[in-house]
Amino acid sequence: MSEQEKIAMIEETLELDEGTLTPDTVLADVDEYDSMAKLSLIVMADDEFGVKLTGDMIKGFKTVADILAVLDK
Amino acid sequence: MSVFRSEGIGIAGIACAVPKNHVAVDSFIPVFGEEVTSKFTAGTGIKAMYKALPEQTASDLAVAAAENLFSRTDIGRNEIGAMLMVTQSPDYRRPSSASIVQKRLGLPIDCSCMEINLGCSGFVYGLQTAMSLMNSSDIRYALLLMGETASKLVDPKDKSIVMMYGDAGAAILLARQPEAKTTTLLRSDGDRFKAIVLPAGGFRDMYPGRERFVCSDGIERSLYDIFMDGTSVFSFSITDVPKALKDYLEATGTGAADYDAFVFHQANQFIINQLIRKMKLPKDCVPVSLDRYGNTGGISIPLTLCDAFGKEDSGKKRLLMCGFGIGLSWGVSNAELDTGKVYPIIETEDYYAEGKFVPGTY
Repeated sequence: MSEQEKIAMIEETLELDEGTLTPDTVLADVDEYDSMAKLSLIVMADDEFGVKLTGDMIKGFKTVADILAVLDK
Repeated sequence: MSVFRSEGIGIAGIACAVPKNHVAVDSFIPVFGEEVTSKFTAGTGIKAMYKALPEQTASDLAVAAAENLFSRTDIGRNEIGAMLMVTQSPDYRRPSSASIVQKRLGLPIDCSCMEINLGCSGFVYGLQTAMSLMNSSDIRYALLLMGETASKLVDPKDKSIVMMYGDAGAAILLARQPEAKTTTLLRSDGDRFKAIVLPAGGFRDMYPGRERFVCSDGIERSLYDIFMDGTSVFSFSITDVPKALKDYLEATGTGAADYDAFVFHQANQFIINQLIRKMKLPKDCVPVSLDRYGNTGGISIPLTLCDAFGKEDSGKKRLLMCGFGIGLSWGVSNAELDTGKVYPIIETEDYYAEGKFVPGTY
């Protein structure tokens, strides 16, 4: 899966318009990235990538690139 | 795997009680604003709960449930050979609430009584412990009691959980039932004990200061307030819990079609929906009570049973039950439940006034 496809999946999970995010987007600046969105992200990572996101991993995410790096594993 | 098997012991009655004090999530609008409360309900499914009065304790709720249960059965109190009280809201630091409840219910000296300190997994653990006691004895009846008043431990300004916890009590009667077969899977991960914690007031830190500080979720609390790391608990709920359910089905050689209802700890609707989806369960077979009662900890399973089946006798139901939460601790168990022995939830204002100690009077 390409990076762009992964970003599109993150956008869909956070209910954002396509093209809103780039790898450099700072998550703290995204209003929609709230506690419920983080839960949706856990579900998406588990369903689509078989990746288990822990609370500590989520806390460590600063930019979209941090999420992409984990999804690659 | 810790898998326990029991034959010849079944549930012969379930009764639950909640405090009369009904609290709607809407009543928090003046505190948090409508956006926060409606977002909370949309995310959790919780619209209301019952909160104990200041005088009312977890043991009061358990006693009310037990009295209701005794009023509906011919079984005498002298026949109860073991009583377990599951709570994390004891009346005193010591003795355990099991002693107070034994006295109040008039259970005999030959009834072995003890407390189990567990939360959301407490029903499954308690059920298995009671069955194990019966399995190794000639006790004819055992009583599993539960009570929780977690609402008293939450900071009133904590928007993450003040609208979540409801208080409740439960009483479950276990009896010899030759046909009954139960399999229980129990798990625990103390490595994640900090995921849900109330740091102050135990013996590690008995009387720390009450200053408030900002926690990792951005909410201000003191050491005397319950803290829940929501993302970690959620991650646990949608990974470790379905794993346990799948392991259970494998260990028992059963599938979803072998059960009439799947009764999950009522953590929140979002988690329950994820479990339904991951386990590919028919939604109609997953009863929900959290919308009206909130998250009542370990009592949420018996409370959901009373809510779903207490009003009428709908015959026997094959249940798969799963409790999960603080500890972290989780478990899965089955039961074939005669719904004619499941009673409607009662509301109570009663409390044990004699339980209050007055300086200079003892």
